Amino acid sequence: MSQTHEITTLPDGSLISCIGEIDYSYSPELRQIFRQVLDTKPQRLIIDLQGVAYMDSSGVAVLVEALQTQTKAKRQLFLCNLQTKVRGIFEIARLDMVFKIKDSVEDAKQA
Amino acid sequence: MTFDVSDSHIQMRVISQPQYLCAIRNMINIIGGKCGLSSTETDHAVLAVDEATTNIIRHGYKDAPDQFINVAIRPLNDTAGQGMEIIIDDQCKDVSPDQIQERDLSVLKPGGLGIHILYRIMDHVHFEQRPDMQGIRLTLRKYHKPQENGS
Repeated sequence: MSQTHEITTLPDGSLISCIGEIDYSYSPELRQIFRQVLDTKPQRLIIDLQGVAYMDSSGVAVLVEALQTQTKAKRQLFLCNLQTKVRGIFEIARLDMVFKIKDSVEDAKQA
Repeated sequence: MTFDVSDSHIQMRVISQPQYLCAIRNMINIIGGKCGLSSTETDHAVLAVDEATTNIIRHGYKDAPDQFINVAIRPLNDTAGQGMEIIIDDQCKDVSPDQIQERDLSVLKPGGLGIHILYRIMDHVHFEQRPDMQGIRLTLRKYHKPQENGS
Protein backbone atom coordinates (compact mmCIF):
# COMPACT_ATOMS: atom_id res chain seq x y z
CA MET A 1 0.00 0.00 0.00
CA SER A 2 1.42 3.38 -0.94
CA GLN A 3 1.81 6.03 1.70
CA THR A 4 0.51 9.55 1.58
CA HIS A 5 -0.46 12.41 3.83
CA GLU A 6 -2.70 15.45 3.99
CA ILE A 7 -2.00 18.68 5.83
CA THR A 8 -4.91 20.81 7.05
CA THR A 9 -4.51 24.26 8.59
CA LEU A 10 -6.36 24.73 11.87
CA PRO A 11 -7.18 28.05 13.60
CA ASP A 12 -4.44 27.33 16.14
CA GLY A 13 -2.15 24.97 14.31
CA SER A 14 -2.02 22.08 11.85
CA LEU A 15 -3.48 18.64 11.32
CA ILE A 16 -1.39 16.01 9.55
CA SER A 17 -3.36 12.98 8.41
CA CYS A 18 -1.16 10.00 7.50
CA ILE A 19 -2.26 7.11 5.32
CA GLY A 20 -0.46 3.83 4.67
CA GLU A 21 2.15 1.71 6.41
CA ILE A 22 4.90 3.73 8.05
CA ASP A 23 8.18 1.86 7.90
CA TYR A 24 11.75 2.75 6.96
CA SER A 25 10.76 3.09 3.30
CA TYR A 26 8.58 6.09 4.21
CA SER A 27 9.76 7.47 7.56
CA PRO A 28 12.62 9.60 6.08
CA GLU A 29 10.10 11.32 3.78
CA LEU A 30 7.64 11.69 6.64
CA ARG A 31 10.40 13.31 8.74
CA GLN A 32 10.83 16.00 6.06
CA ILE A 33 7.08 16.61 5.92
CA PHE A 34 6.94 16.98 9.69
CA ARG A 35 9.91 19.36 9.72
CA GLN A 36 8.18 21.59 7.17
CA VAL A 37 5.05 21.72 9.32
CA LEU A 38 7.03 22.21 12.54
CA ASP A 39 8.82 25.15 10.92
CA THR A 40 5.45 26.95 10.78
CA LYS A 41 5.44 26.78 14.60
CA PRO A 42 1.93 25.33 15.05
CA GLN A 43 0.63 25.94 18.57
CA ARG A 44 -1.38 22.73 18.26
CA LEU A 45 -0.16 19.90 16.04
CA ILE A 46 -2.59 17.02 15.60
CA ILE A 47 -1.43 13.83 13.91
CA ASP A 48 -4.29 11.67 12.70
CA LEU A 49 -3.20 8.03 12.34
CA GLN A 50 -6.58 6.57 11.39
CA GLY A 51 -5.25 5.53 7.99
CA VAL A 52 -2.10 3.92 9.38
CA ALA A 53 -2.46 0.17 9.83
CA TYR A 54 1.20 -0.44 10.62
CA MET A 55 4.08 1.54 12.05
CA ASP A 56 7.58 0.46 13.05
CA SER A 57 10.07 2.16 15.35
CA SER A 58 11.43 4.34 12.53
CA GLY A 59 7.96 5.91 12.30
CA VAL A 60 7.76 6.22 16.07
CA ALA A 61 11.13 8.01 16.01
CA VAL A 62 9.71 10.66 13.66
CA LEU A 63 6.86 11.28 16.09
CA VAL A 64 9.25 11.44 19.07
CA GLU A 65 11.32 14.07 17.23
CA ALA A 66 8.18 16.10 16.56
CA LEU A 67 7.09 15.79 20.19
CA GLN A 68 10.50 16.97 21.39
CA THR A 69 10.37 20.00 19.07
CA GLN A 70 6.87 20.95 20.19
CA THR A 71 7.56 20.40 23.88
CA LYS A 72 10.79 22.42 23.79
CA ALA A 73 8.86 25.32 22.23
CA LYS A 74 5.99 24.92 24.73
CA ARG A 75 3.61 23.93 21.98
CA GLN A 76 1.27 20.94 21.89
CA LEU A 77 1.22 17.70 19.95
CA PHE A 78 -1.62 15.20 19.93
CA LEU A 79 -1.89 11.78 18.32
CA CYS A 80 -5.35 10.49 17.49
CA ASN A 81 -7.23 7.56 15.97
CA LEU A 82 -4.52 4.99 16.64
CA GLN A 83 -5.34 1.54 15.29
CA THR A 84 -4.71 -1.42 17.61
CA LYS A 85 -1.42 -2.49 16.04
CA VAL A 86 -0.07 1.05 16.06
CA ARG A 87 -1.11 1.62 19.67
CA GLY A 88 0.68 -1.64 20.47
CA ILE A 89 4.10 -0.38 19.40
CA PHE A 90 3.66 2.73 21.55
CA GLU A 91 2.90 0.46 24.50
CA ILE A 92 5.86 -1.81 23.77
CA ALA A 93 8.14 1.23 23.54
CA ARG A 94 6.56 2.62 26.73
CA LEU A 95 5.57 5.79 24.90
CA ASP A 96 1.80 5.51 25.37
CA MET A 97 2.09 7.58 28.55
CA VAL A 98 4.49 10.09 26.98
CA PHE A 99 2.32 11.18 24.05
CA LYS A 100 -1.10 12.78 24.43
CA ILE A 101 -3.27 10.23 22.64
CA LYS A 102 -6.88 11.08 21.79
CA ASP A 103 -9.68 8.97 20.35
CA SER A 104 -10.58 11.43 17.60
CA VAL A 105 -9.46 14.58 15.81
CA GLU A 106 -12.33 16.44 17.52
CA ASP A 107 -11.08 15.36 20.94
CA ALA A 108 -7.60 16.58 20.02
CA LYS A 109 -8.95 19.93 18.82
CA GLN A 110 -10.80 20.47 22.09
CA ALA A 111 -8.07 19.24 24.45
CA MET B 1 20.54 -24.66 20.29
CA THR B 2 20.67 -22.96 16.91
CA PHE B 3 19.39 -24.86 13.91
CA ASP B 4 20.98 -24.65 10.53
CA VAL B 5 19.33 -22.56 7.86
CA SER B 6 19.11 -25.72 5.74
CA ASP B 7 16.38 -26.91 8.15
CA SER B 8 14.17 -24.02 7.11
CA HIS B 9 10.96 -24.50 5.15
CA ILE B 10 11.07 -21.11 3.48
CA GLN B 11 13.95 -18.80 2.61
CA MET B 12 13.84 -15.31 1.19
CA ARG B 13 16.83 -13.35 -0.10
CA VAL B 14 16.11 -9.66 -0.14
CA ILE B 15 18.22 -6.79 -1.39
CA SER B 16 18.91 -4.11 1.21
CA GLN B 17 16.31 -1.62 0.02
CA PRO B 18 13.56 -0.41 2.39
CA GLN B 19 10.90 -0.69 -0.31
CA TYR B 20 11.06 -4.50 0.09
CA LEU B 21 10.52 -4.54 3.86
CA CYS B 22 6.81 -4.98 3.17
CA ALA B 23 7.53 -8.22 1.29
CA ILE B 24 9.30 -9.67 4.33
CA ARG B 25 6.46 -8.55 6.59
CA ASN B 26 3.86 -10.12 4.32
CA MET B 27 5.74 -13.42 4.28
CA ILE B 28 5.93 -13.59 8.08
CA ASN B 29 2.27 -12.58 8.31
CA ILE B 30 1.20 -15.41 6.04
CA ILE B 31 3.35 -18.07 7.69
CA GLY B 32 2.63 -17.11 11.33
CA GLY B 33 -0.83 -18.66 11.37
CA LYS B 34 0.42 -21.79 9.61
CA CYS B 35 2.96 -22.20 12.45
CA GLY B 36 0.17 -22.04 15.02
CA LEU B 37 0.62 -18.44 16.13
CA SER B 38 -2.37 -16.27 17.01
CA SER B 39 -2.95 -13.04 15.11
CA THR B 40 -1.38 -11.01 17.93
CA GLU B 41 1.62 -13.33 18.12
CA THR B 42 2.00 -13.15 14.35
CA ASP B 43 1.85 -9.34 14.52
CA HIS B 44 4.69 -9.44 17.04
CA ALA B 45 6.78 -11.69 14.81
CA VAL B 46 6.13 -9.36 11.86
CA LEU B 47 7.21 -6.31 13.88
CA ALA B 48 10.30 -8.08 15.23
CA VAL B 49 11.50 -9.13 11.79
CA ASP B 50 10.77 -5.66 10.41
CA GLU B 51 12.79 -4.05 13.20
CA ALA B 52 15.67 -6.47 12.74
CA THR B 53 15.88 -6.08 8.96
CA THR B 54 15.52 -2.29 9.21
CA ASN B 55 18.44 -2.23 11.66
CA ILE B 56 20.54 -4.25 9.21
CA ILE B 57 19.78 -1.87 6.31
CA ARG B 58 20.18 1.28 8.38
CA HIS B 59 23.02 0.50 10.76
CA GLY B 60 24.69 -2.62 9.39
CA TYR B 61 24.76 -1.72 5.71
CA LYS B 62 24.56 2.06 6.33
CA ASP B 63 21.78 2.30 3.72
CA ALA B 64 23.87 0.73 0.95
CA PRO B 65 21.22 -0.50 -1.51
CA ASP B 66 23.19 -3.40 -3.03
CA GLN B 67 23.65 -5.77 -0.09
CA PHE B 68 21.57 -8.80 0.83
CA ILE B 69 19.59 -10.11 3.77
CA ASN B 70 18.55 -13.74 4.07
CA VAL B 71 15.42 -14.61 6.03
CA ALA B 72 14.76 -18.29 6.76
CA ILE B 73 11.67 -19.64 8.51
CA ARG B 74 10.71 -22.98 9.94
CA PRO B 75 7.85 -24.11 12.13
CA LEU B 76 8.63 -25.17 15.70
CA ASN B 77 7.00 -27.99 17.62
CA ASP B 78 9.18 -28.75 20.61
CA THR B 79 9.00 -28.88 24.39
CA ALA B 80 8.23 -25.15 24.51
CA GLY B 81 5.26 -25.65 22.21
CA GLN B 82 4.25 -24.72 18.70
CA GLY B 83 5.64 -21.69 16.97
CA MET B 84 7.97 -20.19 14.44
CA GLU B 85 11.73 -19.77 14.18
CA ILE B 86 13.16 -17.05 11.98
CA ILE B 87 16.87 -16.81 11.16
CA ILE B 88 18.07 -13.52 9.68
CA ASP B 89 21.56 -13.47 8.18
CA ASP B 90 23.43 -10.41 6.97
CA GLN B 91 26.93 -9.78 5.67
CA CYS B 92 27.64 -6.66 7.67
CA LYS B 93 31.25 -5.71 8.21
CA ASP B 94 32.53 -4.13 11.40
CA VAL B 95 29.57 -5.20 13.55
CA SER B 96 29.93 -7.70 16.37
CA PRO B 97 27.08 -9.25 18.37
CA ASP B 98 28.41 -7.57 21.53
CA GLN B 99 27.69 -4.14 20.04
CA ILE B 100 23.98 -4.86 19.67
CA GLN B 101 22.46 -3.60 22.92
CA GLU B 102 19.15 -2.30 24.22
CA ARG B 103 19.15 1.35 25.20
CA ASP B 104 17.77 2.97 28.33
CA LEU B 105 14.12 3.79 27.59
CA SER B 106 13.82 6.21 30.51
CA VAL B 107 15.47 8.84 28.32
CA LEU B 108 13.09 10.19 25.67
CA LYS B 109 14.91 10.26 22.36
CA PRO B 110 14.16 9.15 18.82
CA GLY B 111 15.70 5.92 17.63
CA GLY B 112 17.26 2.91 19.30
CA LEU B 113 13.94 1.24 20.03
CA GLY B 114 14.31 -1.71 17.66
CA ILE B 115 16.42 -3.95 19.88
CA HIS B 116 14.19 -3.26 22.89
CA ILE B 117 11.18 -4.27 20.82
CA LEU B 118 12.82 -7.56 19.79
CA TYR B 119 13.51 -8.61 23.37
CA ARG B 120 10.10 -7.44 24.54
CA ILE B 121 7.93 -9.30 22.07
CA MET B 122 9.86 -12.42 21.08
CA ASP B 123 10.44 -15.54 23.22
CA HIS B 124 14.00 -16.05 22.04
CA VAL B 125 16.47 -13.51 20.63
CA HIS B 126 20.05 -14.49 19.90
CA PHE B 127 22.73 -12.61 17.97
CA GLU B 128 25.89 -14.41 16.95
CA GLN B 129 28.66 -14.26 14.41
CA ARG B 130 27.64 -16.19 11.31
CA PRO B 131 29.19 -19.66 11.28
CA ASP B 132 29.61 -19.75 7.51
CA MET B 133 30.87 -16.30 6.58
CA GLN B 134 31.24 -12.67 7.62
CA GLY B 135 28.15 -11.13 9.15
CA ILE B 136 25.66 -11.50 11.97
CA ARG B 137 23.04 -14.19 12.44
CA LEU B 138 19.93 -13.32 14.42
CA THR B 139 17.72 -16.17 15.59
CA LEU B 140 14.19 -15.27 16.69
CA ARG B 141 11.57 -17.61 18.10
CA LYS B 142 7.93 -17.00 18.85
CA TYR B 143 5.76 -19.63 20.53
CA HIS B 144 2.00 -19.84 20.73
CA LYS B 145 0.65 -19.12 24.20
CA PRO B 146 -3.07 -19.86 24.46
CA GLN B 147 -3.65 -17.19 27.11
CA GLU B 148 -2.53 -14.31 24.84
CA ASN B 149 -5.17 -12.16 23.19
CA GLY B 150 -6.19 -13.25 19.75
CA SER B 151 -5.53 -16.96 20.39
